[in-house]
Amino acid sequence: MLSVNNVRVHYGMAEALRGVNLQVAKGEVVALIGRNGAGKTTLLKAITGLVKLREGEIHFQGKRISGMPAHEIMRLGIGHVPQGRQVFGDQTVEDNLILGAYTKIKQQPRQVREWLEREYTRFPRLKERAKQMAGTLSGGEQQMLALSRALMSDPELLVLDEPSMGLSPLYVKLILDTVTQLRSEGKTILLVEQLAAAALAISDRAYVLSSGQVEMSGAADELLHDEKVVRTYLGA
Amino acid sequence: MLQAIVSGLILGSIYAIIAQGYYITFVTNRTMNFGQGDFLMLGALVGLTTLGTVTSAGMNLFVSVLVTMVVVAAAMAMLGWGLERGAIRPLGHVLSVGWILSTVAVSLMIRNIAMLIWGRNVIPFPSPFGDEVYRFGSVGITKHEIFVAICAIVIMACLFFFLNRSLLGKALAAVAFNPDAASLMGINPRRMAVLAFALSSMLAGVGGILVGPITNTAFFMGATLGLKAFAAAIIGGLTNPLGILIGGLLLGVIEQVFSLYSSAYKDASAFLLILIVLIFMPQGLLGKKVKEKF
Amino acid sequence: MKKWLLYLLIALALYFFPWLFPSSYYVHMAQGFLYTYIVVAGLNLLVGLSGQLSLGHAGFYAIGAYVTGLCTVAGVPFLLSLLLGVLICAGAGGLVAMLSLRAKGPYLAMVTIAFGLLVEIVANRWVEVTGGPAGLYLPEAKLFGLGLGTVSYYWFIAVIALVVTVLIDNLFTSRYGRTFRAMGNSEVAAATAGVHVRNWKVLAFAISACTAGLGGALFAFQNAYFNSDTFTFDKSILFLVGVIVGGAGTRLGPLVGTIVIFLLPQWVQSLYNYHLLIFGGILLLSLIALPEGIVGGIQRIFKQRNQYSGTPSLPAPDSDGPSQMGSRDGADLNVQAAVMEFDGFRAVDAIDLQIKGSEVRGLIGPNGSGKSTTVNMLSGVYVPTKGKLSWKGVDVTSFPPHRMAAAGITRTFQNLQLFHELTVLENVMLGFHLHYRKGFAANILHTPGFLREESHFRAEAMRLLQFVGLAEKAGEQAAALSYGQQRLVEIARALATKPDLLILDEPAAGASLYEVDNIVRVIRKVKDSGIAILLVEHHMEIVMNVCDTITVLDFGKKIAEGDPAFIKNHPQVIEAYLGGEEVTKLVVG
Repeated sequence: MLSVNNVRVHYGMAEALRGVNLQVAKGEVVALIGRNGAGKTTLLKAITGLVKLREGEIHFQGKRISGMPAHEIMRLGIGHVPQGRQVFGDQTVEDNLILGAYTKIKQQPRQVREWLEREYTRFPRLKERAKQMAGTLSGGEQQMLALSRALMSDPELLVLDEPSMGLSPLYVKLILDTVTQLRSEGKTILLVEQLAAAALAISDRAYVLSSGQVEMSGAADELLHDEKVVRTYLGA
Repeated sequence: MLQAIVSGLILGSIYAIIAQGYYITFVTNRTMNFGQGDFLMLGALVGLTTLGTVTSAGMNLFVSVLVTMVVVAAAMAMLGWGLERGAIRPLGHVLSVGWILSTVAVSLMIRNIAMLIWGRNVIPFPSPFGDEVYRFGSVGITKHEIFVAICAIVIMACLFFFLNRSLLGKALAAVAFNPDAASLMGINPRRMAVLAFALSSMLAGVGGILVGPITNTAFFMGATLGLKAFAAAIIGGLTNPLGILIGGLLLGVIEQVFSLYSSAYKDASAFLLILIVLIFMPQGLLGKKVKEKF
Repeated sequence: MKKWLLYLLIALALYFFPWLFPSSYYVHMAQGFLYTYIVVAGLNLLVGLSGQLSLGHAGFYAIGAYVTGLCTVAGVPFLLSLLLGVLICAGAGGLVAMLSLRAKGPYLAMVTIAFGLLVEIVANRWVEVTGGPAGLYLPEAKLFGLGLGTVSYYWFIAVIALVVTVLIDNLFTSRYGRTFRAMGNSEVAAATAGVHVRNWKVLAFAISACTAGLGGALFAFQNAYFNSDTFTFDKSILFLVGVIVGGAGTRLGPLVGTIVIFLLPQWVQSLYNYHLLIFGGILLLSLIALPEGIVGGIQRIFKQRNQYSGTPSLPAPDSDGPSQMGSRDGADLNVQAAVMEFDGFRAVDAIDLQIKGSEVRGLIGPNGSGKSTTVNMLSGVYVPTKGKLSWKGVDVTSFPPHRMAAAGITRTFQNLQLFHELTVLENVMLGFHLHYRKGFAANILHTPGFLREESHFRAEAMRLLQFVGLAEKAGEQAAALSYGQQRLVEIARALATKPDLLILDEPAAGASLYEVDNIVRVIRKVKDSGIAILLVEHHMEIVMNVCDTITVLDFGKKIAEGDPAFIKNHPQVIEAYLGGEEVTKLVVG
């Protein structure tokens, strides 16, 4: 479904990605782990068109998306939950969700209503806070909102950037449980996560990124027991 | 005094309309049209010509005013679109001061063209409603001023409705809040920038029609009005449309009150006010404080 | 000296101009060109170098003209009136800067616009004094009793223009120019290097206002008559156009810019009906085609920056560490119940922290746990909402960054804040800001003392660059370095302030594995030289290996403190941060 070939990204003179290859097949949950500054977020941004590639190509469902602007890529059916949630703090929860369906609301308003209800069922808390400004929500609630907002366009591929960042353990559980739930519904997910053990536990396959390169890749449960991964990333 | 306050409110509401144009483009992509005043001038002159043509074609008063508004709004929207494509986008990044000068450059060209078309002289702009004056106690209000007040209320209401309730307005607010996150919703930030400039120019044009009969029209009328509207926007706080409305009204009233004493005081009062406000409230009356992160 | 030869050639050309073009029209034009150039050159200091904006320079131009003119009318000698005019302009510039200190961006623009328009209104309306639009007639300019005719007045302007050029050029290549540029690049980084940003902004405004006033005064006496129609908002814009189209922040920009704004209108004047159209069109095209201005664009093509340091000569590596890096009485920081709130949200919630002597303290915690806020408080960027910071027994709670730096606390930045227009060496030299002794006069005159001081600190800076292993990059533009190298430059710049406590905010983020090793080596060397370090870092190996003590934050609260072994096994820390085993258990079930 998604194929990333030899992607290089530079910030000024600094090289953030040095030739990354990555595949995601339909229905898979793929985790991307690595330290701060390893290039995980940059890779996600490269996929969704927020940063420009120096070299390499990215294809989504057979279509070349590298070089396209972000808003066109999103229209093809990708939902991106950015790092730090980035909800629109000066608008209400419901408005945030409606903006999530920006590309669909004109053509299928009825559908969008249904999706809105679906997200309210997924996170009843959001329904309670529907008229509240998103900026006044707690971190965990904002993360729910960011996730629901991305799901509002009913994307084929969901890209999650550190959904656990800055959350208390209970919220982390809630969010990661939701990911598991989405997985069982058959969603394709690319997940960046610092809590490596938790990420590996809920994915099919994983890539380990280090200094802008793929250091290791393989089935998630194998990596979970790989000595080097355990030593470096699982903190044991 | 009461008279001064009333005409100040009327004048101020026009400042506020023009000033909302600065707000819309500023929040969308951190740029403004420094030639807003000349856009206003063009709106006034195009409006004057259109009104003349339509009324001489024998159309009913209200229809012709409406037609004039629509023609001016459409023309100015086109111009705003052109401004964004021609003078804002090609400059690339907005952190530089280049956009100040490029919009000024466009406004100079517009001023010159207007001079070539409409000549160098002041053209009287008779209000389509005549200059009949209604008296409420000691206060006299012309028909045109009532028209301005109604227009201002309608425009503000439409604008606030558009910004807060419509999908496009929400998208605009999203781009303003966080352009990257907005593009992740499939919103095209560049199209929003064009929309913002078109809207901003429309507001300038309509402001021109409203202010024309009060000040009369000429190719050089724009500069001062544009700056005063900018002052109104800054006083209120560039990031808050409600603040801008208040800023505009405040500016209008203070000007009219001071003009009771002398016309020199009138012009100076606007800029003294802004210095005083900015010393104590560097973000304007209702502007947002931004905490920088390091 | 090549520089002086060039100045001599210019002087000769200026001197012989009246013979080459023996018509009063051309001499008149040359006068106009030169005083406009003086204004643009001064505005370039403000806009191009210090990164501020003025849309009201016509105001200073007017003040210079009126003060000088009115003084002469009142019988004060011309030269003295000129001096008075310039000084009063400097005061006005300082005043405008003070008024606009807290205003930024469009708000700052508005303050300067308002100032310019107020001056214009006064000039127009206070007819009894200024003459208003009817104008003010002045006596002939006299120098020591000798009247200045057209040509000799031209020479007078030429001498002044040449002196201004030399002084401004000296300023560009002195510590002052460097500090202005640094401030324009990153205010917060300049402040943490000890620059009192407010005063420096006022200084930049004052200098720039001086030159504008000088230009205005020279303009006023050109025809022994002037009126208030000159001092419009459009004039302010025109000066700014000169700076931007010429190339903001370049040394030749004002000259080229003045050619554009002064000569171009003269040429198209014959097309009176179209001149705004043509001028606007050319302006728009040049902004689009050459966003960095004409000189900036040419420099880009030739890829050579007009910076004076070039490739510095390497001093002999005499020691492994920099000489007297810190003041060596060690750190003594005591934070008591510090709270930082943003709109009711507590980013830091009653933290206590003690750092003493030359210890290396780790500060860790999950993203969003308040580490960056803590760093911002300790470095003076934020003032805590509640609580107390004391340093060596002094209450420093509300110290701004430059006073923190002077007291001995400085920092690096997680999101790099290098002065990207300066070279690597100049970045580090700026770090010595607090230790320079030579004043403004020495800098602007390039006295021998100034030159000695410059070369002393250049050598010191080189030594610091050797210390971090970047000596061979000294002459490069800071922005051209890789992440890891830029972080090392930040460390070197911070060390130049001679701190007792160095705060490193994620020094290894974004660096490659090789660079991380380098950074760790440097941190160890800094530690060995006796400077206390507060290290915020995500790389656990670094933190565990380098730190003496580690403090762990979570949700803005301190949850643990102790040596690395203790922290490694602290259950709460593991849950919050290290492995997230609890979370894993929760998730996996």
